[in-house]
Amino acid sequence: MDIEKLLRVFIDEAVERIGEIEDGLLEIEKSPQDMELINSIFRAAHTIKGSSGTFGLSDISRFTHCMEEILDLMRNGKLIPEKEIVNTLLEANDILKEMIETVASGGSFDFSRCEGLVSRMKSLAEKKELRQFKIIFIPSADLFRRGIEPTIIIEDLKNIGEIVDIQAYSDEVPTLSEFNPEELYLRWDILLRTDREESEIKEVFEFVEDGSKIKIFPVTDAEKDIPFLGQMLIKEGVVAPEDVDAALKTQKRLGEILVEEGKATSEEIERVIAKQRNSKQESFKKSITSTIRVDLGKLDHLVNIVGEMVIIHSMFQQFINSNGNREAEKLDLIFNQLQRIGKDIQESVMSLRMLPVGEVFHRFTRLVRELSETRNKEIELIITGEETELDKGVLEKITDPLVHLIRNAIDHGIEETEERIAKGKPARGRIHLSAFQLGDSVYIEVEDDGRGLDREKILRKALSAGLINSGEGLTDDQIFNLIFQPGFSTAEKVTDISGRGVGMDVVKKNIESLNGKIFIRTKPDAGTTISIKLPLTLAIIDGLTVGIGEEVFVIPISSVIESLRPERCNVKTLNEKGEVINVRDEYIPLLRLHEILDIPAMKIKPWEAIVVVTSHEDKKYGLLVDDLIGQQQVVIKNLGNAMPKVRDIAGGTILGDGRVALVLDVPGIIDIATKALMN
Amino acid sequence: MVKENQGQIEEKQQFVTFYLNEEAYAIEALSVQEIIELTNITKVPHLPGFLKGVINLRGTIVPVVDLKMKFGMHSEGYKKHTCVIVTEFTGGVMGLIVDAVSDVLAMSEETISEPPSFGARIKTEFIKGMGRFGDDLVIILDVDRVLTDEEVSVLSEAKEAQ
Repeated sequence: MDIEKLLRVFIDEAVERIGEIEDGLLEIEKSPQDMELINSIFRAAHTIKGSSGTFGLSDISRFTHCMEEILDLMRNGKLIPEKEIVNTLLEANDILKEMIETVASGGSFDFSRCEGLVSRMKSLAEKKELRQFKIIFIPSADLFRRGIEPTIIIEDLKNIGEIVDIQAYSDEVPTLSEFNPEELYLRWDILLRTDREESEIKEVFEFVEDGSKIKIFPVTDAEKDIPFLGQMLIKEGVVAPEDVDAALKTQKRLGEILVEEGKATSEEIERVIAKQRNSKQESFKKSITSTIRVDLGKLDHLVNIVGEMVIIHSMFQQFINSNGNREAEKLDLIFNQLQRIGKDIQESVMSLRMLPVGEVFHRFTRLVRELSETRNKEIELIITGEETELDKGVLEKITDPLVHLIRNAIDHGIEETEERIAKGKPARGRIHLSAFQLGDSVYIEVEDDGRGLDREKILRKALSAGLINSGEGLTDDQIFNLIFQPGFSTAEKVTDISGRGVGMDVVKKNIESLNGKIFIRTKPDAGTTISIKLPLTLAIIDGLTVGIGEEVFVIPISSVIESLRPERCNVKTLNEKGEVINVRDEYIPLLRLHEILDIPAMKIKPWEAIVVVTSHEDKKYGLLVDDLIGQQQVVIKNLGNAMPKVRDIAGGTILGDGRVALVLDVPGIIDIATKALMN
Repeated sequence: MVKENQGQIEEKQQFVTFYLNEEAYAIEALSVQEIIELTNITKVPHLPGFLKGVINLRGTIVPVVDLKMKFGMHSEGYKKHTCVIVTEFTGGVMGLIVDAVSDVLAMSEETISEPPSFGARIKTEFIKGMGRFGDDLVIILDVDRVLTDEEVSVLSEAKEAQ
């Protein structure tokens, strides 16, 4: 393997580790005690440090070393993962990601940029290296006579660290008759947490050293404030270590006690213990072999080959059907088996492209955390259904729209804290990001418990922006859907979060390009839910094949409501411009596909042809085609990178006879047609 | 030049030559993926005439360009020898419809000359050079230039905006 390839592997791995670090850091805030978590973050940073060093990327290695130092302190319980520290580490992780990206693109990273960050990290590491010291202070009795007030010493100690625990012992204080007010009878045990050295603590006691007994020793395992009883007893000098050991040996295991008391037989206990051991091993095995990294190109190639196989299958079937043969029945039987296996292979290959949405969802924890901080709102992100799987292609394209939706929820949806309290809502806002599968669709929902969409405000805005002429006769749904119109933005003030000129119309367009749909549910003061419906996979769709002139087109079934041949009397012309058809007393605009696509048709009269009724934005449109050919599953392919993008074509597919058929982009076609009508 | 023998072998480049009407053209063999018979072309709406549509190349969809139409040459429809040269260029994979493929030629640098200037009437930016092969003259095309021509990009923008 040459160095290029090795470097590629390093970059892939580093990117993955950086993701782990980020996830871990976000998690650590919630559970700062999770040692395994801190360990895993540490290991990830350590791996990057090591491998970047191997590749001679010493700057990256040094940078990661700083991160590792902090993580190491956390790991040893010397540093508590406070917000400031986590923030710094997150920042460093972002920079690290940039560094790796520069390596990947062959550029050079400007390391002077992160000098500030590095020194901040260093000071965090140095300053916060907290250790605990136990100080046993038995002052000399003549301290008062020497003009020294012992409490001043304790005050001094407070200046160099935090006094975790202080205990004054008054057992030496004599009875009143023997009491000499000029004498000091007290002694202290102090537990001090500090970043100073032992010698510095000694300095505090410099003036009282004479005649006093002062013992200062570091206490290890600071986090384990409450050590095991045995250790405590030893430390306090109550018993000797040997005594504790001896006592421990006489202790019995839980199993033995149960057996002795006759609650269980020793066989039963053995069995359960064996099971426990097994499950430990199982969980270990799981964690090391559950995934395998595959180059996406290889996977796509496999998907292509399998797609081809499906096509050949249908060609074969056509051939068998058209060539009446004595053996045909037998052949058909064997062929059916082959086809079933083929279908299985296809399904499992397609599933290889599926990824759990959790990977993308967890990135939003960070987004919500940062945005809510800048907006001074307290917001909690709840994630459910992270194991729901989506095609990798869909997953990548869904990320940006989701960022936008979540930003909207934070910026417009969730109220300021005071407003929420005034309304009697919990001060902390909630965004629920969920995914679930229903039928052959996957739903992704962004739900907030904010103020809900303001019907009147949207109406006013739409009127002033000229999107509608009057609000009369519009249902609530239609009004809410106005926010998806280009040029609509209700933000009264433009913030850095939303209002960047990218509106909900872009979100909608992106979703539609994935053959998806977007819905709004909203209730004043209860919140808004934006629901996105996506096909399970981009690559295979159910399609209606239709003929127009010489050509065959595929219309995705997901946008088809019905198809019909209208009666002559049900076709009407409006102003000599638009045509409508009457379908059970509903007037539906008729769009002549051959005109939109600019190709010749065989049947010009709608009552001789077929109308495919489709829906777009809750409105119905009839598409005029020559014939219905059939319904089949088709593998959508793109038309090649060299092909200019045509708005009304979503892609192509290969038919059973080897010809290419174009797959229509229904929203695109309706867009073009309605715009043409308006002009 | 280092050593004469070795130099000559290295300097020779391979070209695929083909005909458009009676004129001989050539493109670098390295940019040719394969040559196939002309199959069913599916038309894609709204595209300029020279972008004929898409074909199925063993499961992959590949767009095809009629080179004669692209160059504004007289065309009499497709015949028996009409074939598609599948090329790889910086923008992707594209099929070129040509009248006939004739040969693979090895030409050395010296036999290739700069494109002559025809004045403003004939565009020469597609032409990489003129090659001599025996007594014949072939026009060597720059595939990238032919296919990433301004027209195509302007067109794609127009379609996006539509």
